[in-house]
Amino acid sequence: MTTEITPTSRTEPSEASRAATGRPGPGVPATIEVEGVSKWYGDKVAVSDLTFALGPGVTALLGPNGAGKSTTLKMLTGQLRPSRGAVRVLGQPVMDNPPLYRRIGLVPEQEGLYPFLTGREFVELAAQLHRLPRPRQAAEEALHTVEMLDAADRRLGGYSKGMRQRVKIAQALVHDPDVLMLDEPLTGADPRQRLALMETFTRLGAAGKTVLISSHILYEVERMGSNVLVIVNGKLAAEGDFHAIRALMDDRPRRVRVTCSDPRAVAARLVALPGTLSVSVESDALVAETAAPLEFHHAVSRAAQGAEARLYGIEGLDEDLESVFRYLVSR
Amino acid sequence: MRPIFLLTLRALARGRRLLVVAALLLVPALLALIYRLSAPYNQNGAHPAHPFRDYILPFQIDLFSQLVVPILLPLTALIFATSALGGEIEDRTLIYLTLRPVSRLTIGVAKLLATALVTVVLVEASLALTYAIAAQGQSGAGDGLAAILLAGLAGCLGYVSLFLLIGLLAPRRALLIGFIYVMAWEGLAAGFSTGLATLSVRRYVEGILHAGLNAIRVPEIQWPNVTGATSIAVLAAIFIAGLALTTWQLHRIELT
Repeated sequence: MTTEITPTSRTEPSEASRAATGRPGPGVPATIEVEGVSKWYGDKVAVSDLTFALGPGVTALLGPNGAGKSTTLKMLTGQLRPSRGAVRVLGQPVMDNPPLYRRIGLVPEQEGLYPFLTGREFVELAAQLHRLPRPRQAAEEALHTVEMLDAADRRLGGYSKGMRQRVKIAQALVHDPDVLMLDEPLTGADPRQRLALMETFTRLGAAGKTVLISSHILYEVERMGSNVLVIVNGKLAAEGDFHAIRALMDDRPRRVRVTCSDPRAVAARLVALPGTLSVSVESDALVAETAAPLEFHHAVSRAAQGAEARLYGIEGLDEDLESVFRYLVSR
Repeated sequence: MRPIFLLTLRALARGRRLLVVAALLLVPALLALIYRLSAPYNQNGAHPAHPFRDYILPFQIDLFSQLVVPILLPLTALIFATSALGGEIEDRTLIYLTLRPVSRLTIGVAKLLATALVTVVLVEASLALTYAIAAQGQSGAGDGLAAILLAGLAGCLGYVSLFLLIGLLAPRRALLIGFIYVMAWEGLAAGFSTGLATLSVRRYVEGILHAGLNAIRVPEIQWPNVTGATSIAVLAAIFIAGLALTTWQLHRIELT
């Protein structure tokens, strides 16, 4: 089930500001349209019934590893044909449509590059294939944007992972595309480069480009995307404003494991707390589900004290991102 | 087309692949050298009046039709052609060509021409070197060279087009599939049966050679029963069909 995030506290953006939100609206046509798209390989479903529309601005495609983000991006860039449904970019079908590719830039997930080319030759090749009037100059500018001019004349085979990522970004930017799609673009970049690249993507979004960035790292998304698509197990779990999704994630019920000398007695006290949804008792611990994790944590030591039990440890069981995503899907 | 053509040339003309092919293509030249040094036609005190026409040229033609055409030429084409597109799929770099405003036909033609160029240059150099070693200092030297080079050229184009397609259809197993095809079909089956040979590239390469040697009397050679014009037409059809199917496959390929 898809979770539409429309928090009451958020005001609807004006047309001017909407242009940089990644959400289409009146006067802001969708640049990426996905309608009922599924992709399966034999019995395995990679992506199931995705429907969304994006406009100019930065949108983050968030989800755990293996969720279907890369498959989705591959369908959005014509690398994969949907088993069902339709994908349109800038109003056109994207599969096998070379004229449209003049307006699309892609940073693919895979690391494969031509090891015998230098970084400059690689980006210039992209510029030549896009038939830019001054390919060398365009390559120079793109390499400058990703801070790769110093290493531009070294062969790609000798590049570090971070350098390969940046040169891939340069080849995607070289023709100044209207739609830029990036699959985990910050992998391997150092913190300073990450910040610089995030600023670049944000700037492109503010300039009216449609930028779709896939990531499994919440922190990256928080920095770049006000608009977020969350994909889990091949399904669209949530879409909308990042901050609303973040609040939803923070407010979700948590499971907490409390290890102590008398779990039954402590459980009897904890179950009476206002936010506690359920408690199950094991031999040396109890697992509670609470809607108020902060208050629960404070109450545990008091409950142990009251039950005259020794407290050995408190452990959150679903603080990892996968649990967050699972929760969004289950809603 | 030029950037993809040059990219492919650089990708193919480097590394161990080139050394392996060069070593393979030196084999006929070495055999020619051994033949000339041993000079079997002069044994037992015999000194034939026309050693080149009666012995050396037939030896060269045997070498060409028994070793180069069915084995070395297709293996050379196989090694380069399966790498030209299949290698891009395996290395996951094809997306840097297909997600550009470049037609699939352009990609196919650029890949085919670059692969053909590398293959033709190496094979023709091998043939010319082999001929030069065998014919050196003989009267009549030069006879048949054009026919051998023309047949070699036509064979390269036919095989390259075929293997480019195989590389695209089965990138992971293209070398194995191609190797089995070369050894079992072109090497063995087509040599044993005239009927099976009809479905081989080898037959038509030999047909062009035969037509090219028409004015030269060459004894003791079993020629295929096919005219030069038919041979050229069939190899041209293979070349064009290979390119057409490669382009078609590029249109429908999914890059997982």
